[in-house]
Amino acid sequence: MTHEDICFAGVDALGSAYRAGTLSPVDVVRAHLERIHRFNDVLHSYVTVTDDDAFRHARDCERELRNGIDRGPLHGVPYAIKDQVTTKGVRTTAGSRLLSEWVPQTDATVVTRMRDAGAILLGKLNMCEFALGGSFQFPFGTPRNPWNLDHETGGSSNGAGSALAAGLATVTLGEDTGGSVRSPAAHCGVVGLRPTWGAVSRYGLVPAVWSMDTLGPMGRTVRDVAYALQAVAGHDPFDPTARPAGAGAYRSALARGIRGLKVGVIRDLMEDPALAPDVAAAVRRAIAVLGTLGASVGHASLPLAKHAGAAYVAFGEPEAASLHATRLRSDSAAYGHVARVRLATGLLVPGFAVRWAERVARRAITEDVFRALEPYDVLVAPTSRTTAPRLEAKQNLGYTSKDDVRAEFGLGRAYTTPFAFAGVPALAVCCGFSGAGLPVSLQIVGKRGADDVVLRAGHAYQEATEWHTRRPVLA
Amino acid sequence: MADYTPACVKAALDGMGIALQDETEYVEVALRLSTLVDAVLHLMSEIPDNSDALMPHELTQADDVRRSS
Repeated sequence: MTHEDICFAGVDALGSAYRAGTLSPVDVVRAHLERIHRFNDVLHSYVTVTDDDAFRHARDCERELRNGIDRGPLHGVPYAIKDQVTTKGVRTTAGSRLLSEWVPQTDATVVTRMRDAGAILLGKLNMCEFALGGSFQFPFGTPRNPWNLDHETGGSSNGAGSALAAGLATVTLGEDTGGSVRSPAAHCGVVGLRPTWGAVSRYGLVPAVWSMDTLGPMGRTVRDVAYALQAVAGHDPFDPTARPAGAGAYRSALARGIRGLKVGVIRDLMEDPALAPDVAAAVRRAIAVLGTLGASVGHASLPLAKHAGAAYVAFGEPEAASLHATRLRSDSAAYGHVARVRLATGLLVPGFAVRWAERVARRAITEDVFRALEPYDVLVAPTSRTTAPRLEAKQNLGYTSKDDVRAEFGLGRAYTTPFAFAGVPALAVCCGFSGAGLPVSLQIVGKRGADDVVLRAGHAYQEATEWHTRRPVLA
Repeated sequence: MADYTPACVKAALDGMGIALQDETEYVEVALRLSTLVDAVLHLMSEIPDNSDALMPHELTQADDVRRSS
């Protein structure tokens, strides 16, 4: 394998080569680190690269495998994690200058579990400040989209998407509050899963909106995402919201195919007048593929989805602001513009609006999702209404009227946030490319706890198509 | 229509001991806040409040019960 082939190999290919003795974890880590150091100055996928620790761990893995100690499919596989997740002895910035020197004393549970599974940490990944989304100023470099450097990566797990697309990690872990795994997965042409809320421990996660934050695995293939979910999911005594259900079934479910699977196409999103024609066409073709694989396809509706943006901001920003109020008093200048404006808004939203948005609007939208899912196994829709937007050089949000703000609260959030409200699993899978060469993504949403079903549908789609085998050209 | 002014936002944040960086930030917070309150007031006419005491997470647990029964 060439160095580039190594960096784009999946978990199974690496594992086979290790066990056949044709490749070692040290070779693979070296290839990745060389590639990271070659491209990260442009892509800014990584905030911190843990070269020495990675080599040390790779040598340990090599020794273990040689001595017959096999930790399973992720043994010796290089991964990276959003810098929102604590790593013992490795700084954790949450994308903020405020934490640029913070070195946690403990690992998050997901970090411990990935290490127990033998996965090798390459470093910490760039992100929007405190996972609040919408950043255009990044203290650790502006993340760029490997498919076109003039375009955004999507966020807030920006580096988790771009690192995979560029071959700078085999698997990544991101965090999705209202769409922060699925958006970068969509814009970077990779796979991202927002698992069922509670499927994965959040112990060690710097919170954004506690009631919605969900750690999620990302990869270039659904199979690799299933391997990572298998490693990190399950009950954790340090996180009372982490449930045991589901752990154990993800990998084995993939082989079952989707014959007879009931698929509901979310009409409200497919008929959005602002849905980009390239996106609509690619998603329609993807749905047709699911049909040819034996799924039965019908229509579903989410009439309240269009309100998800306003509802989310109304209770999510106050929740985030409650976490930052003390620091805003002492050090507001250290926040970036977007975070400061969003958190200040959150501090001032009237109490009735916060409570009503969560108690009534979130609940009604959640019921909408459950109702739409009732007759189906999965719902499908575009993950994003457009391909990755062009990067803009700006110093502030540029709002001069309420119309400017309505665009922020508008239908764009309807594609991902309703499923975050409902706590159901949602998978983003690349389903084609626009005329401009930017990735398009299909979103597959399942019932609560049915992460295995969305993975099965995504895997069947990838087995029948070749989009996931494309690589961006990086000079 | 809600109409929070930048001066009103500044007074409220000053009272909390929080300073933004410049006038633009006060304008942007005022616009976001006004638009958000408008949106919630509008939603209150669109979405009936027929909920009981269940919160969203309890609701999803209720869905689990439905799924398993």
